[in-house]
Amino acid sequence: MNRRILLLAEHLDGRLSPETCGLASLARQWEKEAGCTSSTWVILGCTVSRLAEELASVTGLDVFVLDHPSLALYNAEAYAAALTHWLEEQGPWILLLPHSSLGLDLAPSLSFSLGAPYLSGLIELHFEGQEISFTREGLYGKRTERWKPVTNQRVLATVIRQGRPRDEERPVHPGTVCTMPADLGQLRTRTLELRLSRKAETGLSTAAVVVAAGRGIGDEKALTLLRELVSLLGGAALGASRPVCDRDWLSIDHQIGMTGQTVSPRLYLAFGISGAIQHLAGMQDSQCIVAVNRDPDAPIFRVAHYGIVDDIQAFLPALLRRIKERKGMPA
Amino acid sequence: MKILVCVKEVPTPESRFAFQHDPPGYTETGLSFRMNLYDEYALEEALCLQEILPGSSVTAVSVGPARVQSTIRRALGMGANRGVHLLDESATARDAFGIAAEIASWARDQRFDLILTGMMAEDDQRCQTGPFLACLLGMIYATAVLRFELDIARSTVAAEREREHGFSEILLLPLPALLAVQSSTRQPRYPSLSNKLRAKRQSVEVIRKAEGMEIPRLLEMVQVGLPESIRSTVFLSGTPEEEAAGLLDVLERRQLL
Repeated sequence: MNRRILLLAEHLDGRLSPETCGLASLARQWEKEAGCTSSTWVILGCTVSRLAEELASVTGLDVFVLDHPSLALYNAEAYAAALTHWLEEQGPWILLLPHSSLGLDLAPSLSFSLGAPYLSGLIELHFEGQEISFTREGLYGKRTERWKPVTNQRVLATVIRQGRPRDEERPVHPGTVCTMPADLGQLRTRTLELRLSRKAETGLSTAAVVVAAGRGIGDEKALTLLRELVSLLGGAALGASRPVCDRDWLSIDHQIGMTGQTVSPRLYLAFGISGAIQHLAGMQDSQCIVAVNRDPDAPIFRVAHYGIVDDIQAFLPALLRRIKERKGMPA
Repeated sequence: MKILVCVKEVPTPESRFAFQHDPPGYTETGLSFRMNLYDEYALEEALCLQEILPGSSVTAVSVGPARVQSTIRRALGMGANRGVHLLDESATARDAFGIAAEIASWARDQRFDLILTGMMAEDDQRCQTGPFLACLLGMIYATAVLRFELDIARSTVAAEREREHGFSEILLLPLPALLAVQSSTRQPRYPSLSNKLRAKRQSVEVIRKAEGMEIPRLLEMVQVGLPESIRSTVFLSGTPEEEAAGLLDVLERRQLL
């Protein structure tokens, strides 16, 4: 089948997002398996030709630009209107979007207007003859699920990148860029502003050791012990998974994972972190990962080099005692 | 202001699951369930609105088997006025579009001004049901909403939604709208004693699927399995003291401290 893999390029504040760049190598791998014709980017915006050229030269793939003044800032309604018009005229396709705030916001609306099945959190795409199926992780990352779309001429998925994108050689020939005015029709939503609301000054990205707190630490009091651990270990910084920040136990600047920071320290100590795929995406390249969790099925143990199945409340005081003992400090 | 909050009942994250393969799913025996945390945030936001907007009401709806009534009762205990249970024994195996279609077929003639959902369910993390519900009802939606403000006179809502790398964007949407909230500006309240007593007396409306009604789907789950381990993890065991000593030995040997 002459199916094409289409890739949505995401940009934020004038830059291609890191979530975008990982899509190209996945698409290349999948297009070989499926015998799809070469993958193509689509990027939306207002005068984004510089970004389109960058995409074309870095990935060697062709780029379609849908251009309109109302696409200068993202909103689902405007993006979906422009893309729906364009996608309706294309042959069979698989549209891959980054599994990001934008991808997750946009995909349902596109799926609905095009009647195209949409899978959230794709980690693997399978082809068997004309059939397509998707693998994702569900149930707190404790199982894999294979889903089959009921129709497969047009399907879309948000893609979770696993691991670091491979460093690929720059392609010899850049792709071509084709710009078209977008057709938006009447819009009900308006994006007023894009703002930078927080700056991370937690030292997380440069720390040699990251001590990370998850919901499994039990309560806020355990944070005092974790702070003590951070000060006992040289060059360490305190991080957290999303639920800890959502509960205001730590400010959002401490968040590690997909909407937060990506870290790859020498040593990553995860306390009470279950290891949802969103969190793993932000830390799995760490050199040595130690996980402490009382749930032996917690997905964090799939990436951990060392694991301890125990209660944080019992283990942490013991660890602090032992460290002080070895340092010759009073307990 | 007529507000609908969609709440999902999820198994607790520490659950040990026994998977079934035909049809794909898991055994519920022995598991404990509770309200999805993000839906608690959505409900908290709805209850705060109800307190400041006279004459407003909050309805909590949940799709699932009989057990989800306890989550609906919790919503009533937190202060929702009305609880609705859309009975569906096969909800956990359905795609999000199917769940959204079930809610939409009931909500269509109820004329809600605002629908709030959590930005995702903690267990499935699909982030789909809310947006699909909005699409089915012809409403505008925004997801990953950090905070929002209603303008009743203009019938609009300004919502701040989270992007990556510390960015957020401000959207202006017309009402009725659906917002999938990321977190609440306040911590979700605990059920009060008086509300709990009221919830006990109050009945939950149970809606059964109409005879012959096909629930649509876009995707079908065909297989479940265990995720592969990326590494062969070395587990340290013993008493907490022994575990701590063992860990420090390993880290010192590898010169990681």
